[in-house]
Amino acid sequence: MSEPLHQFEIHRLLPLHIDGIDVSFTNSSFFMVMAVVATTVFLVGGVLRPKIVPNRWQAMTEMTYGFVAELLDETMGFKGKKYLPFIFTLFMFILMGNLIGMVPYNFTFTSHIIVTFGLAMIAFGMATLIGFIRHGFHYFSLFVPKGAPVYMLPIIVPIEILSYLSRPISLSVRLFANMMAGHTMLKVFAGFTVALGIFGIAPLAVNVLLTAFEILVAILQAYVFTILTCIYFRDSIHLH
Amino acid sequence: MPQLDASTFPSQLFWLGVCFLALYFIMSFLAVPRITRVLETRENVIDEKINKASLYREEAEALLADYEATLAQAREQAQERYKNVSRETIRDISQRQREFLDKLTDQLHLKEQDLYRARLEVSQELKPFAADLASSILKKLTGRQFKPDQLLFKKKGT
Repeated sequence: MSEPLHQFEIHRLLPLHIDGIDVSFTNSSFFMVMAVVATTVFLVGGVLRPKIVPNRWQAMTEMTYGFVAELLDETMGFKGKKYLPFIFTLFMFILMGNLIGMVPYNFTFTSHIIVTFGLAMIAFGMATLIGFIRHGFHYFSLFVPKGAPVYMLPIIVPIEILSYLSRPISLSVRLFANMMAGHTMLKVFAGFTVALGIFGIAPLAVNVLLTAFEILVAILQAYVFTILTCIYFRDSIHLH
Repeated sequence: MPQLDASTFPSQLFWLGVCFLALYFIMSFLAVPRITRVLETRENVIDEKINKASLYREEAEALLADYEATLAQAREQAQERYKNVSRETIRDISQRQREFLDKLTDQLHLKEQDLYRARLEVSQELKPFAADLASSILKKLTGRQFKPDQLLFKKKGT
């Protein structure tokens, strides 16, 4: 029985060092590039020959765009329109990473805490940046809830700051844990299937169901990551 | 657990940054503008068609109103003409009737005159016979001879 965590190992494909730091092109990097390529092909290919009445591909592209645009509109309103490319990039990158990872033998880069943390920091950093650009130092009023009694502020403000700073951690751990747990479970049941021989049909059936469930989780987690980022953006734009 | 192998972190973060940035630029300069343009084009086409449709409907409504007005006018004209014609016809009929009646009266007068004249003539012609008859009756009764002319004059005298 092969090791369930073996699938998360990183192999160097092209060794590369910049300034003494190891930035080799690995299997993780390869699937990140694949996610970028897949997203580009999916989105641009759908509207390469646009029609008034869309075909299936174009309809899929437009629906994906519409889904993200609506999400943005619901959370941020018209002020959020200019952040559409960023949110769309975040959503498609995570979604494609999750979905490509569902294909057997593929690597899932979103199952690495450092990648999801990097993504969360990009989203969190962007939200904080927008907040400071829009409101300057007034952005700190985000930590002072409206209507809170003054004598409570010494307790509330540190809590607010802590919860604010824990945003990227919760964001990254949620995605990472979901992806890693799902893939590990799939691998464990696949191992049972091999080990049990003819009786392996039972874990195989479980694996079929789990695969469907994991595809749902892949889409759902990309959605959750995106909508939480949208909510953080809204806080930065409207300050509660 | 391979996820905790910190030696892979720089490479993963580096490539994450590269890929995310690349995708961001592809999104903002290629994918999103294209999709937006497609959606806008569709919206424009639909708006245009709706406008055209409402224009056609207005035209059709104007045409209908025109048709109804023309129909009403024609009906009025027809009624007017019918009234005129019937009035003329009635007038014509009554005039002809009167003319016919006048003619009839004239002819009746003429015929009456003729008749009167004829009766006079007949009575003139009858006079000698009547005198003769009277004289012969008188002769039979009285045995006297009266001349018919005498009788005639006597009768005329009385």
